Amino acid sequence: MYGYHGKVLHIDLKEKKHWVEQKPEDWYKKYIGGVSMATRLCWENIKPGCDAYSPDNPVCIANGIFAGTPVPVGGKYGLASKSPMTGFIGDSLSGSWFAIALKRAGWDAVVIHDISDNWVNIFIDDDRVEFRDATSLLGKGTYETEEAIRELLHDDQVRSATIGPSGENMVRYANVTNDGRQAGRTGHGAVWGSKKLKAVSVRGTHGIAVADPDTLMKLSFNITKEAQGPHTSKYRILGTSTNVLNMNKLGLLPTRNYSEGVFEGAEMVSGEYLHEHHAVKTIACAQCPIACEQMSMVKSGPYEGAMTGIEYECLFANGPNLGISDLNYVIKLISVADHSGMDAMSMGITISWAMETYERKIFTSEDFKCNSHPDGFPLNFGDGESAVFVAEMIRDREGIGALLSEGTRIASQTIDKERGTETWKWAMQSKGLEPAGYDARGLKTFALGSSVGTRGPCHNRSAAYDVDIQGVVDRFKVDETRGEHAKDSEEYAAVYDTLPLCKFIRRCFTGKADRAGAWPTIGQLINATTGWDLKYEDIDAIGSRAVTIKKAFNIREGWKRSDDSLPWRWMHDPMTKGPSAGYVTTEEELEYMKDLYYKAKGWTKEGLIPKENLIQLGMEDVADQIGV
Amino acid sequence: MKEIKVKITGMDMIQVKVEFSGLSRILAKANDMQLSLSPDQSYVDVIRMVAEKYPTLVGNVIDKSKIALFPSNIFSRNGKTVVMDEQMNDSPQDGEVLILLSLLAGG
Repeated sequence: MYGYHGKVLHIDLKEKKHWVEQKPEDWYKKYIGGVSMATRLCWENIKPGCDAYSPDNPVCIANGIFAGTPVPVGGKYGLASKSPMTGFIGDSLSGSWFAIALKRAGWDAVVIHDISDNWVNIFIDDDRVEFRDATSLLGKGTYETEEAIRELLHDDQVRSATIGPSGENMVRYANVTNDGRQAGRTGHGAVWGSKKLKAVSVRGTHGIAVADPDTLMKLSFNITKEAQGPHTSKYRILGTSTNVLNMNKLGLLPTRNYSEGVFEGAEMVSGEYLHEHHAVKTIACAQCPIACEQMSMVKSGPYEGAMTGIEYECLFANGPNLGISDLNYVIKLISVADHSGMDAMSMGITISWAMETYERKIFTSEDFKCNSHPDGFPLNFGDGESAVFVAEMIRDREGIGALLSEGTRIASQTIDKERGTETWKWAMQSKGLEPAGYDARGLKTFALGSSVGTRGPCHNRSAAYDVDIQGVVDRFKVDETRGEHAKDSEEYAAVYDTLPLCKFIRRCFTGKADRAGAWPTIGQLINATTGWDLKYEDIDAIGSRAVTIKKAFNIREGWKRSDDSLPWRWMHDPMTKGPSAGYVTTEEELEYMKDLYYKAKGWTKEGLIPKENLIQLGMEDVADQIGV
Repeated sequence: MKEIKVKITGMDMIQVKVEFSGLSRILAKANDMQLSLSPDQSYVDVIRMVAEKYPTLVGNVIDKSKIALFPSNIFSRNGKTVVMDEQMNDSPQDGEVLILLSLLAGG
């Protein structure tokens, strides 16, 4: 088999043993890699109904089909487990050298079972698996851990995916970091922490055989050339943080815990300001000719030297959403998250919930007592210094940080139960996951895409805001087209997340980002890698199958129609300023759009999947378990 | 026959503001641009005038033809609606704010 090794590595943390599972070629054709293959491995290996922190919830890593090949932006892998945030599928992607090393080590995927008795660093050295004691790594940050492992192994080519102190402390939204990139969402770091798994390190020395190297090189060369041109200059020059002003001008920039969509301090936390005053270097993932990550630094003041990569989602969550208009605080906050290994989006949004709860006088200063502040401190919007204290308390689960480390859903439920309040109304979450930085009150299609997302509301899994913002539809109104739009957007994204390819490449095939512009070239890339003969409709099926296996997983975990929801605020609490003022997505509108979406998917009105739909996708065993 | 001369005064012109955001702002080194247009001029003329004043935008934000925006760049009208391709020959309204957005996703 070309492009793959045909092998999945299983590792048992409890018994300290490993074994190899061979998969047939047909399995690879269906699930390809990335989030689809990782979710399929969850389907096969997770005990239904288990707790996310139980031994029965394995870590499933699935490599990309193009990792280690010349295909640009193909150096990515998928990571999946049952999410401690949502109780449903938790799937994330990360890029760079770890994926390439794993491919060179000869593994298409890794499934890590059970719980270790001691903290462990798994070392996959080609065919050999070593369980290394990780005690000396405890307390180290994510980047620091990677470096320490290289030193311990005396090999600077070893690549590691690690957790930091947040993962060790099981902050529910802790993440997994490799090569400065994160599998950021849904709490993988907490799952690793629950298993006492500090890091997975890989040394790979094998080659990767592809079916038609000449064609693959030629295609890759052409795409690389395009990827260094104007189609990607916006990513290269400013990165995604340019969206701060874009969203602000459209009235969609989450501000002060999503209470408004226009931030008066947006200029000072914009990508443009960051570029001029804080950016120090532009970083690229391995195998990427675009280079979008703006490494940014605090250059003076109490946080001088704090440095990390800044992306829009982290920036909105820890800037405008906290009412903070000083990038020194924002960079510091994101660096606390990145170095300690937690999702900066969920962290920022949880802090904004706490700020609003404080300003509504439900929390008081006393709630924020900690070692450095025995009398506590106030937590108002705009107070960057206090926000940094809280971020560090979350990382360490100190004082109220332990509650906030659980995310907005559990934190609000706990406080409401204790104090008889209704803080859940401003807890910005759906399915337990905090949403993206596009306010869905002014983006009706994205509201639908966010509500039906299998991992919760997510801009990466559903780019339904595209049709809203580009004017394909009236973004303030609901109509009968929205189900199809949300389905198309989700399945389109799922193709990229399954290969996986970074979506920033999507205009570099033909100049057009739609299916017709991308699928023929993507098909050629897959066929040149594997020797298969996939057609246009087969590429469509990759996306459809990826969404379906994730939904099937959720159904098996007890998903019901009412789980496809939105934060209360988006449905009941209109903004008062800017172009999107006055709008909400009402419950009636949402239910109508969900009907349209389920119909477009061919699912039942209750959102369940008919058996024939699953059989058509070649998922007979799934049909047997959850098909209706 | 007596010739009637019509003088176009400032009162007859419409005022349009183009706001730059993201890539266009960095490349233009400007936050915005005020334009005076005659009522029969269109969005295509707006693009042409912007391209003329800020040639660094051509090839990145504005198509090399100088009569269309580069793919994934849009004019948002007052932050509410989008000037679609089929509307590019329409005339802007007096006082319109056109936000030149380079759309991108992710982060």
